[in-house]
Amino acid sequence: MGNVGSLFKKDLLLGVKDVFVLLEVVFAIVLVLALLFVVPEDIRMDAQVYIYDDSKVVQNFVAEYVGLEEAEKTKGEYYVNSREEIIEGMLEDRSAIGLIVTKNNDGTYNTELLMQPYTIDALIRYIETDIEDLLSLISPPYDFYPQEVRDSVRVTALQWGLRDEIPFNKIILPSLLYYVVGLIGLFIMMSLISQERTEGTMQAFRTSPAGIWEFLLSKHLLLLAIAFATFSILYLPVMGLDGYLPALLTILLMTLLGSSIGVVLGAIFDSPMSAMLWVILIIVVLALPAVSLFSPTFSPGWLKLIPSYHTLFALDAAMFPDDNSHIIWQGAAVMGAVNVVLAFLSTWVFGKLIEKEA
Amino acid sequence: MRQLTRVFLFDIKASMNSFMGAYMLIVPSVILFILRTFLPSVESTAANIAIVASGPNAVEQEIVETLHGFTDVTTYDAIEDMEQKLRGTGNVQGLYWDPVEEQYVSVLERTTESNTIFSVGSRVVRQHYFRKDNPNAPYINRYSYTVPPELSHRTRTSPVASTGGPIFIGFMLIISGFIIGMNIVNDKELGTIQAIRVSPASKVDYFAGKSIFPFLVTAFYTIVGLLMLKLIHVNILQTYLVVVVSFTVILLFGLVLGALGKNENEMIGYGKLLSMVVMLGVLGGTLLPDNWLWIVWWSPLYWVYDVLHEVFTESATWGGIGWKSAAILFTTGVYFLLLKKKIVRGLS
Repeated sequence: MGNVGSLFKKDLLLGVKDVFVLLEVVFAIVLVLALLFVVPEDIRMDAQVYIYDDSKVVQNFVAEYVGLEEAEKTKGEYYVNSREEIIEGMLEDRSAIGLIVTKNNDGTYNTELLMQPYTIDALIRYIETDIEDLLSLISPPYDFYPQEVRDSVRVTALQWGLRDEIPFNKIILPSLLYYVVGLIGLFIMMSLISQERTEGTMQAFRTSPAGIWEFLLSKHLLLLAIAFATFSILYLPVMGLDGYLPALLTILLMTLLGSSIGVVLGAIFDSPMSAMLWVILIIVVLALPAVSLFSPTFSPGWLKLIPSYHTLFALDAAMFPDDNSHIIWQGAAVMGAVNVVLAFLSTWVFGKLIEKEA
Repeated sequence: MRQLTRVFLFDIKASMNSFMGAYMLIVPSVILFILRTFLPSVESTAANIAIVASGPNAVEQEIVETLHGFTDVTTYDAIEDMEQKLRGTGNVQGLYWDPVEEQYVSVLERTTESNTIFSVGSRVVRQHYFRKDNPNAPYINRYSYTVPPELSHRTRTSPVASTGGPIFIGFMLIISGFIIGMNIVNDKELGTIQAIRVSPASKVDYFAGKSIFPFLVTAFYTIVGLLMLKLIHVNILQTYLVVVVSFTVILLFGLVLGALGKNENEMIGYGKLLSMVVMLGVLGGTLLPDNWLWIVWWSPLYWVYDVLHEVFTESATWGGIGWKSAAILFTTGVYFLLLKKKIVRGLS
């Protein structure tokens, strides 16, 4: 253990000398200042749908039960007074659609969906089902459906009450933590190993009493220490102590995963630049689950095979608790298991490659 | 010109010897393949439904088929498994049959206590029973859909592809910047920069020569990217004009990395942080609503993202490309002036 301590001290000194430790810390400070003082907390959502309700049936219903302002803010539903206003809005918001509701003399309605050229069929059919049912339920005198149809289904929920609104600068924090802190291991470990190989210190190390695992362990510890420092700088001023420990555990597991991959890359590739392209490829793959975080409708099962999925969602669950603490522990279990396998595998691969090189 | 060609050919040879050239061909191809496979599935559905499909709580087949028409349906054997899916990640609603109450139960992850009727599953169930019991009843709503003539000129390219395209090109630009920076640092370490001083090649020849290979790679992958992301119908001339202008950002990025890094490792450290800083512009362009985009106006890569997004959605005008290219050059120029001393000192 004494060897690990000495190696850790050496790695830390080299890290400070090569300025990357300071760079990470300075970058974290700049980013947290931006999050606190530049990135807005309250962001008005881009419009998803502009509705011109000539019949006023839908508009009055939403005004009474949700509130028009709330519908704008949380659902991106904007009520306007003419078709022209819809078009104007759709021209401005490229992803928005429009809906015109008019009432006929016989008590039925005409609903026209104004869509963008790329609107998918599934959404067209979804809105058709949605509006037919809504009008059947709320159209005066509220008895279009017979009672047995109303009784054919009941709606229940796992949790009651709406989630507290989360400020925008907090919403983006899990992704930033993952990107800025979680990937530290991947970049720096690969770079540290390459440096040792380039400078020939690996050869000198072979004559020392320390083993390969101690050599790698000290580097893993260094990266965990940097991750801990930068994570705390970013997290505490924005979130306080809420969810700090589970979020820290999650990010440290991600750092360890990245540094184990970094060990393999550093051992395989002679130059950091050759490894760099693979690092970028790995980052792209690891970034894919973030799409599901921002677009929850997209959540295929295979996405769980990418380890970063568990990190991103565990971070989200730790920071914004919502009867979802199992996600944190499931994520920790998956990442822990992957880390154990990867740590042994990477040490073994590293030992073999270095042996061959000697 | 001869010196410039020599530097370029030397770079190609060095890249091939170290397998860098091969990696530069393989890695972006794999990234493109992943994006090509991934992107269509992102926009394939309007909602997710988890249903119980077997046993006493099974949802009947006709309802499942209706749901399949516009939602992504996942099936489970028991209510507990279905609820577990709802408690997990993503936006999912559940549906099962309650044989005791003889009614369907539509389960939401969370809703207000006043909501006892609205959910995707309940809408489908009510309409299914209503139509089954009243096959000849009129519909309360006559539904039609159309693309308004005012929007008919717009592209059919989905927002996912028109956003993914600029992000991919942004990645390629950053990779190119890394390569320029790494080549310069390599030359610093090997003493080639000192050798250049006593050779007939000027500094301009040297840096221009160093940029040709990464530029060709970016240009090549721009066209491959357009093909693979099915964006080939966009204006290629506009795309390349933006790529050429954007290359000034990458030249500066590469020069700064080359100047700051004393060795490859140090350069990678700076490169990681700088690429994060420049990618913040793209991240902001993707996530921020229009009225908050001014926050990322400082980033040249934001302007690259913005103008490429317009080109890919076929809404770009030459005037718009002109002033946004000017914004790219202006912001890059400002950073160059701010960092000039550091660059000159670092490359000396």
